[in-house]
Amino acid sequence: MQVDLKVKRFDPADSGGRTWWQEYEVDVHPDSTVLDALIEVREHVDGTLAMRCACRAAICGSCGMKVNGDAKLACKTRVVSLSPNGEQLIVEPMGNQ
Amino acid sequence: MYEHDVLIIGGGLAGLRAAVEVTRAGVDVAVISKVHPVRSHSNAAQGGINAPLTDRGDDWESHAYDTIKGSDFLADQDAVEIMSQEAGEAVLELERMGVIFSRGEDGKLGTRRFGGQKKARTFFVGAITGSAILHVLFEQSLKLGLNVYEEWFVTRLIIEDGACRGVVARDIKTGEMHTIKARAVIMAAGGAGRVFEPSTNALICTGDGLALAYQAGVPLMDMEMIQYHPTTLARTGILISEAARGEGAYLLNAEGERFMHKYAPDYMELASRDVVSRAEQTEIDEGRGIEGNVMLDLTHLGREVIEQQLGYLQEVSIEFLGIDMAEQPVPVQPGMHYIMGGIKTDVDGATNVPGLYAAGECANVSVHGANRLGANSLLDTVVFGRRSAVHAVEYIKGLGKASSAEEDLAFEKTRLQALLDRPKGERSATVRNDMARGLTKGIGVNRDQATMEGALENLLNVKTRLNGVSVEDKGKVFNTDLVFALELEFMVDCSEAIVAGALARKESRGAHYRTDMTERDDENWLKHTLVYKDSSEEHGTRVETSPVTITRWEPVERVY
Repeated sequence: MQVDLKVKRFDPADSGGRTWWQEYEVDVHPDSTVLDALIEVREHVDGTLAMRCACRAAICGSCGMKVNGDAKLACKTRVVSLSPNGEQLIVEPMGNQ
Repeated sequence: MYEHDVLIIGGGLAGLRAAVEVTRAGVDVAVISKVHPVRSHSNAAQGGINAPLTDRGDDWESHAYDTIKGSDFLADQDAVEIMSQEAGEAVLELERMGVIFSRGEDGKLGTRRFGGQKKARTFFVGAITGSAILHVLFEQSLKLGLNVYEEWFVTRLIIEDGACRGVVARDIKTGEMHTIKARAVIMAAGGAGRVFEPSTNALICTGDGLALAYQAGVPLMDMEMIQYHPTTLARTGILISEAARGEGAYLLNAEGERFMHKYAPDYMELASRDVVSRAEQTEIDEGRGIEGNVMLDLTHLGREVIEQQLGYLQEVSIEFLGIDMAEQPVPVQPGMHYIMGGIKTDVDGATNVPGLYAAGECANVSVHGANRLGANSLLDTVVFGRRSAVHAVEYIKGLGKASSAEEDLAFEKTRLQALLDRPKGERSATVRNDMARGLTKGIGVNRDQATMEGALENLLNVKTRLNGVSVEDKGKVFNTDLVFALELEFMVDCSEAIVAGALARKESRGAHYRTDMTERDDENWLKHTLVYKDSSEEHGTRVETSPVTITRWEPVERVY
């Protein structure tokens, strides 16, 4: 299954606080979660994509992020539940407010 | 300038319990962790923590014997006696600290039965016991003002005049390298599940502590003892706690049969984990599985029991497989879960390197021997986390810290820069995947000379590729790409020790089951394997053995 991701990136070393959107396309198992897709990106496409994740079993809390505008644990958010027809998934860091 | 009296590597249960104890002794202590402490893998422990409480008509000898039998008589009985004797107070202390353990109708701390034990002596918080205890220990550390080097990655131990005197570490957030000097170091960095694939373990369980100690000359003991947990969820490998079976769940094959009666007629689904995993594997291999799984049936427990006592399991089942446990059985299979093997310590957490202690999953006292009972790991962490702290506090009296760690720091900076500067090669994930799949295939639930040699061959191939692994991210800040490359090196060290131990032990015992040598051989093999890193040896390892401490329980045939 092809997953289309648009990820908000930033460079912490850049004190200007610049952010940008980066798009990725990966091929993953149909039951994959958003985290599975992101890991596929960092392992095979873009090694600079850094994110916190650990348990991938919805217990540690590390992978909290905003997916399509809502705060989610990426590891328990199934891709097909948010994009049943291959719609692009928007991934951003968790909001601060 | 970073220095402390005691430095603890790892912020999970063992690390935080040790930190609390050192702080109570009025000694300066800090914890260094590559993740925020509550993200440590201790939070994934589900089922519970064992304790024999005398007011329930239980006694420590009974728990000790169950543990020793569970270990297939490889556990050191003096260590087990200590753990069982201290268990009651350890658990009650957690309760006093604020862990909201589940309670029975009578208002008393409620128990459930866990594998390898006839008595129900497992105390729990739903199916999230590890998480609950970890959060409480973290609260306690906050209360005590504990200093945590959060998201710092230890790359090397500082050994000066043969003693451990601190660490070299990278602050992941800034990319700066630092030394942290200490009079004593307690290694509590957890297990090495990611050395296998699949595994129930978190992505962070990369055997860092095991490898660091191994590199410093500490032997890794009984590394062939790898626990395959019987109930890991199909496809995802996520852990489904033994607590399900403790509450009464059945294991069924494709014929709807409760097959455990053929393998463990007395304990059934609650036999020791190695026995249950092998039983499942046999059913699957003989064609009575369903797409490589067996079924865990909780439907007869009723929705209320499932939701009250096993809520998290239901959540996982629904979220990840879309299966309601109250309505349907869940497909499960054996999955790599825990490593009984580890850094050899005595009953006070001390290793053969003065100033270096170890506690928790990374250590091997040995209380778990060839197979760990469920709910004994949480117990192990707090008992030996505390004991290591107590001993370390005594040890450091009158001792100095590292005099100068400049060389170690310079060495590490150069090493890491060289890694960053490598020309484009393989990604660490690719190599890790190959290594982990090969290891799982060769050193699985069942193994033999051929499969283990296959694992060795695979590992040797992986080692040739190690220096060609490159890092795409050349930045300083939060460079996880670099961290993964460093973790890969640690994982290769762990693999090396696992393969060496497995090839050395010429018998079947507990989790080390050889289809070409199925019998336990107490006469020749009632001993621990010790793997030392030794570059003068053929595959870089030297294997020795050491005797098992027997106090009052002579090894007998192990039947469930």
